[in-house]
Amino acid sequence: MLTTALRYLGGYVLLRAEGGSPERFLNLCSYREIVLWDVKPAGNAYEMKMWVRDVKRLAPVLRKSGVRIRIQKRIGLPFFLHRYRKRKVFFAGLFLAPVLIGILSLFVWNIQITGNLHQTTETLLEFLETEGVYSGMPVSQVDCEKIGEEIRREFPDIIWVSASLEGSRLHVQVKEGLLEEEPGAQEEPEAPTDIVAEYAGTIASIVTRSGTPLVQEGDAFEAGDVLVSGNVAVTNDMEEITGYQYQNADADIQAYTERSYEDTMSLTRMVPVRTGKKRAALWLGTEKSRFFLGIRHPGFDQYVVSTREKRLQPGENFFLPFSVGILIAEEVRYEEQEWSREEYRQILTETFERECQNLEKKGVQILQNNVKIYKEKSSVSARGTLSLLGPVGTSQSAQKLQAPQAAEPGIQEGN
Amino acid sequence: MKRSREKESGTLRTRMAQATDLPKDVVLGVPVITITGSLEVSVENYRGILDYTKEQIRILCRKGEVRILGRDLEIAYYTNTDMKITGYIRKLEFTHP
Repeated sequence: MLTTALRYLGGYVLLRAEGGSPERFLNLCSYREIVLWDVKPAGNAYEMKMWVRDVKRLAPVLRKSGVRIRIQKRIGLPFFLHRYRKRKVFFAGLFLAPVLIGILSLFVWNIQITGNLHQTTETLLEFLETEGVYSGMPVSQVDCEKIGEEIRREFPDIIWVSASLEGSRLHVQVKEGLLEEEPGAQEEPEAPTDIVAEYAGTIASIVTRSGTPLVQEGDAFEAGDVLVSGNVAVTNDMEEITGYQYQNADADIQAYTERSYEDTMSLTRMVPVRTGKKRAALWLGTEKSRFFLGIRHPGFDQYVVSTREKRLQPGENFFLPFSVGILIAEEVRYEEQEWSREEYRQILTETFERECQNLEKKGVQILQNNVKIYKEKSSVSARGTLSLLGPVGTSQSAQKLQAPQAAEPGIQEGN
Repeated sequence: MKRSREKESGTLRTRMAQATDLPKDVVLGVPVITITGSLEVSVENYRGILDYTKEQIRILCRKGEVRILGRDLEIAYYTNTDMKITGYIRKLEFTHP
């Protein structure tokens, strides 16, 4: 392998030696340290390969041995370069390509964010862009420490940031902490908040931490009713209200409730059927724009489009700002198909189970359910009511109650 | 007379070579031949090629010649010091003068 490569770099020729005394020719060559390889007898002649630089030294050998030679083929890089010497653009390209790659490697072409759960990657990227960190910025301007500080300042729930440069990729690792909201109940708030029922039901239990409970166990309530008021009355010794303390009402309230459930779906669906006609277009693009080679609009009435994209990435951490891709448009015809009994049962059951799981996640217990599947002419539905036991009440800002203008003591006495 | 002296010197050289542990190819001027199966023959320490066809290659050494017989014989490389022959080797013969 190495020998082959070296021979290619140095350049060699395929010779055909005829007449005279070929054995003598071989021996004279070896005596003059002219290296020969792949010597083959070919009819009356011999074919062999030798370095191009040795060909010039052959003259005395040829004279002594009486052999005539003909160069059959010139092989190697020197001949290749000579043949294409007029193709200046090609050589310019050969030279420019590494230069361009060198220049491109001076920029950040990919920002990878890992470890984010609550903050989306897009949010973080948008924020970084406002801070002057974007795909395409010079590597020399990346200040990893500053990026870390800025992210921590902007997003308080991110407790740890590490930014590192790997080739042309900026890797930002973050860790999010679940910061509990600081309990602000210590101070008296400016305005009170109530706990308001979001649905109707019956109270199963109520434990009030702050505020005035307006309902008791067993009470029925309607949606919108205030369950716990944020206005706490302050009374004097005579049980007269002298004023109100304003609090953020806080209570654990469990309630029984009935909820109707209905989920209707059409019995038929439109299914795309591929007709077999397809068009493809190649494209070359950057992150912002794409240049299409081929027909971009296939001229079908209805079609599905699938694209495949490949980012040019010479090394694991070296991204170029270009990507290539293929876009395939396949013509489809929509056909109406009817769901089978098993299929619609499964779909409706899955939706219902998902709904139940969502309820359970919120801490709601399902005491009873009589949801059944009913089939109608063109649709099918799951209907019924659910008996639930679960938390109730959301915070809502409340009216400030003012202490009733107590009548002047004098007048009271007068009465 | 001449022949017997040659014979003597030959034996003397052989004995010297055996006694001094010197490499025999250097002392005696005999070829070093490495055969890899029936596919390859490498020859060192030779003088030159006497005859070369697809079926037979005769190599001249300091004493006598080596003849390689076979089919589709090719010289993979040929330099002043060593050569390699490839092909289907059937037979290798030493001819003494």
